[in-house]
Amino acid sequence: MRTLLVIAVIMYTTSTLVAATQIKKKLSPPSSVLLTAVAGIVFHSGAIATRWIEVGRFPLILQAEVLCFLGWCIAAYFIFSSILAHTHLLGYTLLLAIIPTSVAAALPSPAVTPAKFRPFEDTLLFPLHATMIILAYAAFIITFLAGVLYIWQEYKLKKKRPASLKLPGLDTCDELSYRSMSIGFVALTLGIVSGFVWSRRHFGTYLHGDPIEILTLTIWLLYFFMIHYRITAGWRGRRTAIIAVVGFVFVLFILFGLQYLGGFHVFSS
Amino acid sequence: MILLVGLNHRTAPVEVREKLAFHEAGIKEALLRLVDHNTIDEAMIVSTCNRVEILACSRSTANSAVEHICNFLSDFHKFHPLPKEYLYKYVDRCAIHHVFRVTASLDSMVVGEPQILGQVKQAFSKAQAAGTIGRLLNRLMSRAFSVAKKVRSQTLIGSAATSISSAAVELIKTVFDNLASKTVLLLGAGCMAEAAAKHLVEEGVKNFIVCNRTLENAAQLATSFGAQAADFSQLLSLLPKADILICSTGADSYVLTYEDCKGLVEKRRYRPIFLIDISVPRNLDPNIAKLENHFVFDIDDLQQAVDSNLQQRHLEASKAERIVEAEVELFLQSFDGIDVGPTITALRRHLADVVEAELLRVRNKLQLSPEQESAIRSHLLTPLVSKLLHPLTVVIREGIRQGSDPRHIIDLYHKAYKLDTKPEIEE
Repeated sequence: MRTLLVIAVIMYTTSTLVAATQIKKKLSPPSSVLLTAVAGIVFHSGAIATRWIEVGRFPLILQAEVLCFLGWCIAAYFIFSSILAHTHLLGYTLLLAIIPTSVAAALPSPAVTPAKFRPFEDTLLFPLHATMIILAYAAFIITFLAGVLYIWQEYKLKKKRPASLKLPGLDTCDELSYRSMSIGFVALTLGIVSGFVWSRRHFGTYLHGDPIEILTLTIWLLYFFMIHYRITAGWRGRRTAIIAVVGFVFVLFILFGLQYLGGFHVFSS
Repeated sequence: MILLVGLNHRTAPVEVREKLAFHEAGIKEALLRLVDHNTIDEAMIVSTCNRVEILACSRSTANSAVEHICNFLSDFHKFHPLPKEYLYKYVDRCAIHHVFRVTASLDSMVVGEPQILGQVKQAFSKAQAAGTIGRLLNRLMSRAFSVAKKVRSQTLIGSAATSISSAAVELIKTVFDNLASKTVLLLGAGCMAEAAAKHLVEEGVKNFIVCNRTLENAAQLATSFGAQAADFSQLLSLLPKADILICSTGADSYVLTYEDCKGLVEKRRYRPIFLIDISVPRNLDPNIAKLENHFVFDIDDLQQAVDSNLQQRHLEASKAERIVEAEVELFLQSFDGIDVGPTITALRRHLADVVEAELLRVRNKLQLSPEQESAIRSHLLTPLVSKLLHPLTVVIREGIRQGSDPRHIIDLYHKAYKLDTKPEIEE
């Protein structure tokens, strides 16, 4: 698994570097960027499959597995948006995929699942819950990226010193962030609901009252209000971008910070 | 020897340039008069509003060739005496360097402007049509075109806007990627508004609204764009529709204030709007920029963008100069070992044709079977062609090795065998 992940990281890095050489010239990345990214995700998928066979259960419990899948989602979003939606984010998206994937490759991933995760193995609801939540985080990371690009370009424009880099226009950034925010919101809702049901069945309780659950519900509310005002009042641009940044901080905290505080949702071994 | 005689916007005033400029229709005649196959063998003429240049190949001395070209210029244009102090003359290395620089737009008035490459290409194909391009100029120019392409792809020399209206469009594009679906509101129907609008039409904008103090003027401009016309009283009701506003009225106070725009933010549903104020005194309240998703640029901001772009171009130009410098070296090296390939290929083809014709002639008389025929071809004719060709190529290669110019021999071959090496330009 590790070797395949390292190869994927190398592919993503190459792709990002090639894209970086184009950053001053044009918006659409050369096809080599996309091809290397696709090659990367093939290896990445291979790594996930190998892990699945190795442990013989759904591979989304330990932190390394979670980060590995997160990186995969981000890379997949990049490829998807480049090919189908023709929105070019150059290599920035892949850069964000490299980080979790590399961390995943560096973290220990024991072949034997710790005893406390055993109950997770015998149900369909848990994979759904975990997949949807990670998918939502990946979407919010994309939202964050679009938001940061928006805020930075807007700042430069307001200062009357427009960025000399070729970046997606403000309207594209806004559209992208709204779209990924919507995808993330739907995935998060599904993830939360399936989590409730699964938890009720296995542990007899909807909530465990641990910090991650509270934070996830907070994020859900945050994006709910943003989408609500987008539809009713037309809030967009800066406002969406700021929410995207706040949401991202929460996501980061959940992914890297909170497990040291303990609680039910600790996925390190 | 390659030489170049010419003048440009830096060396000569427009009164001289216009007298020496060539009309498009007259270029062929001029070239035929210039190339006398005695002093001048090959030539082409580049004539634009900023430059007149004659590029030629000659076998006589530099002085007599330059003299010949100057006489031609003054005779052709009936310009006596020719003011030679305005002319520059370059020979060999300098001429090649100059041609590369001109084609790469490094010698242009606005460095990096894209038209010159097309103009030189046109001049080249005119000379080709007139039959005054030979092997040498063909090689030089095809290299010059690829150098120009290289400069364009490896530097940012032609990337940024250098006029107010193109700078405005570039700024607008940082906000809106897709201009086709946007609505442009022109405030004021003057010529500035028109120029900016034309630029936007080129970028794909379809929806225009023209708003003016007097409705008639608005209607006049509106019809030329297929736009909607309105007068000032409708401004506030039209503003929510607009994504881009270009203001160039003659008013001496603000036409649109912060309060006006603030009241419309919710009605616009926070959609971004780009406001460009090219009028002096300013017609748009600069405070509007404080509003969310409102981007205001006045004439000074645009000028600043243009200036920094020009600065950027000059930085890139020095990078381009280095590329040109290196390419000149490369060209000179290959020029020294002159490309005899095409001549030898043509020679081989010619000899093969001759023996093939002979074979066809005797085929029926000898009643050859197809097997015999192909045996004769592979065992007799092909080695025969190679053996005949060998001493001819050795003479050239030995000549090059001993440092003499092989072009005379090549020319001799071309004459003796009536060879046809079709020169091709890389596009």
